[in-house]
Amino acid sequence: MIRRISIAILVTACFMLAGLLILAWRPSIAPIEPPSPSSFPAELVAKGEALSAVGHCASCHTRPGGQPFAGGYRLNTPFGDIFGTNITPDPKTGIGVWSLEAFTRAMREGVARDGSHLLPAFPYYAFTKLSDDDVKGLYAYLMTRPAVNSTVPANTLPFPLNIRAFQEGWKILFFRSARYQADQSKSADWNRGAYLAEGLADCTGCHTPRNPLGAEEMGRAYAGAVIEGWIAPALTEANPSPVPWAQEEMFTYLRTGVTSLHGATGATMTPVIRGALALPVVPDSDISAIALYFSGMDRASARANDVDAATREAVATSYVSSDQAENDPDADRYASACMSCHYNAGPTPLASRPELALNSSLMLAEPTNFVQVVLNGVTNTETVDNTQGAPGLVMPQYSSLTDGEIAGLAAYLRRTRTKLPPWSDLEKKVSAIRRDSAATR
Amino acid sequence: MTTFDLNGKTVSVQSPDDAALLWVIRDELGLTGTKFGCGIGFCGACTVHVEGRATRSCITPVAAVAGAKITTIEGLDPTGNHPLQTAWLELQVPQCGYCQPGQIMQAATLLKDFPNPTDQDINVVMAGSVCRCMTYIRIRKAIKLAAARMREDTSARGRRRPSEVSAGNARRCRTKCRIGAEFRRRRAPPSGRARASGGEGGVGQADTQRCRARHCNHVRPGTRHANMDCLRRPRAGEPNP
Amino acid sequence: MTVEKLSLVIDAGTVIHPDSAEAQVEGAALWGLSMALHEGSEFVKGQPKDTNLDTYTLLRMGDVPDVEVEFLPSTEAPVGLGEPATTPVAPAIGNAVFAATGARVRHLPIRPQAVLAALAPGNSLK
Repeated sequence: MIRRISIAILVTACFMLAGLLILAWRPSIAPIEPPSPSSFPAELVAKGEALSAVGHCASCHTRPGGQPFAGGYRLNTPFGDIFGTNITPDPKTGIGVWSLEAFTRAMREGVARDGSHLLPAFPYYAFTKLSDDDVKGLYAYLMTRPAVNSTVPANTLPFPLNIRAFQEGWKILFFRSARYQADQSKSADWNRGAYLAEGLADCTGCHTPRNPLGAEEMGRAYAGAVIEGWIAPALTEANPSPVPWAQEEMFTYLRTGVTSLHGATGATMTPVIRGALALPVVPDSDISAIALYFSGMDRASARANDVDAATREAVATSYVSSDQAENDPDADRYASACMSCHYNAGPTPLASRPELALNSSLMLAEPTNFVQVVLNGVTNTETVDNTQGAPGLVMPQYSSLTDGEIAGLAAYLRRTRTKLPPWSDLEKKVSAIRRDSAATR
Repeated sequence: MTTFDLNGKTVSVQSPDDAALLWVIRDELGLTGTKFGCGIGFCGACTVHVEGRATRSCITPVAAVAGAKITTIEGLDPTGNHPLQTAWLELQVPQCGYCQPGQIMQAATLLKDFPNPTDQDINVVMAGSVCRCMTYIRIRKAIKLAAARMREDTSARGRRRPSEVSAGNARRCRTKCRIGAEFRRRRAPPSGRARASGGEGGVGQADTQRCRARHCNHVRPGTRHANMDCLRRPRAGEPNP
Repeated sequence: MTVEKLSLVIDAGTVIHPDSAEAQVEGAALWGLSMALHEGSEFVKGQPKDTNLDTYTLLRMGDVPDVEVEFLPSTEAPVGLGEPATTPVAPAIGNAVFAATGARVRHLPIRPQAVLAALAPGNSLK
């Protein structure tokens, strides 16, 4: 009896596996002669360049210090390390022999030229929304880049995740190929912003939490997520910043990486801005549209009660008198090591003096971002793994403080700069972040 | 190997990526004006400018400043006559002198952000700069003296012509007042960005009054106007802001 | 505990360089104040408890009170001036605390908690 049931289960499983493998099969598209760069009209290449900037292709397809688009960027995922591929037009190691049809299929369906499935770390589920013209533009841009012969390290995914055919299962569950549908009740600008954010920049890819299978949790779009040891904050009105993200604020942030009412960009958001969205090739109108889209998501205008009052109140907390410091060693450490740079006299903070009471790092449910910045500082340069911030803004590393001191500082700032409940287990969290941060260097 | 700009010259150093900028400046590059005090960012003796802003070099790894402009006390002024330096000499501020380069570099950033500093501003921004000889009284006096002189200087020297503002500053300038708009329009590349950001004719008197240059490093807080360094005409020999 | 003003009167014989002498006295007095209210070297099991400025707190710009310095006119021989202003500051503060509250404090640095404890009933012999 048991034997029969086991055999039945085994046979069913084999049929399902066979079915999956059959469904997963995709034809290979014939390789072509690498197209000559001059075969692409200049305006199409320029259009592609602007799109590639908004899509920040370089941020995942370029290794720190490596050639643009030559791949090798290591993405830490809960499933293992995944390396961005070489998308220069190199015939052997890049996409030089990919036809427009192959490229389009990769973008729209997540299938490589040889018929193998691409991992959803490559957000084909976003790019599927792109229009034909835009896909052509991106193809033209990439095919006219310098070809770089560079082999990318193998991904370190464990079995069975390393079997590409099984990605079909993921696709069946989570993916539908479809172009962007405009929302007729919204303005053209809003739709442009939505198209760019959802279809090209894939903001949701980092800002939406994922389920254990690595797909974005339905119904929790833009609720915030943990990415490579940092928190990507919520972009909905659950965003904890005291000042809402008005369109103008978001525009400045995406164009420069820093605003005086919110602070500076950090972690993996920095190359998205500094290496991509802030580039002059991206027109202001596109960034303005994206800013409009997100300020709507943030319900910024509805929440803009009294920004000036909130700002003034925040700025006032940046001053700690010697009397206050006398009784509290954490306040004293803040006054000795932090206050000289983080003080503002009001009524509006200077962008170069990040106002802590307006900064989301103190407002998030976990102290992760705050501790990361204190331990690692904020660098100026693109060539270091730890790139942060806006150009010209450098914060040194306070890693010589003990875990207890950093925990005390975090608790002090949380208590005095926010009205939120205290963080738990701070010292343990600081140690863990310090350990993990050192390990990923 | 890391390359950066030190006091106006490009330098490349062999020190490892995690070497503190302080030691790179002192040992590899031989500029010993910047001092070691505590090594943990609590005394300010190591203060240098990174992109014009006071930063503790003892806890800044050299890789973090790759490509950036670094200014040490030696480079604060080409002839050593920065108003802070002359005020320091006039009022005989230093005793042993060890902390003073860090104090001056910190004060330079103080005056950039707060050109007319109150006692509270001075207390706070100089809070990280320790003086064991306790010359704080004279440090404060010298800061106020230098501030007064720098303020006179700025209003007397007038504004630059648009052609004298660097294209980079004009492109980055996002101020909404008439002044910023004029410079942006004259120097921004002809790509339509200037038009899109209101450079041409989209700025009126109301905007001037409501100057919201919040992200400009040179806004003078509490006033309606931007004190924009990029528009201030430099003195002879002074580096171009 | 905030010191709002420090007044010092010094007899240093003939003062050769008044400006420099004033600077010395200001510096020394503030150092005395720092030791009186802010510092405090402790030894635990033979080792200094505080080995850097993250835990060893000293007087910073915001802690500086008004300081008034006067030299007694004198034609006596000039004498040293480097340190004398340091030593009387803590006793002066101790006396001021006593004059204001009737509490005696006997340890440096003088922390608010020590003053409060000295004020507690039954501690008048401290």
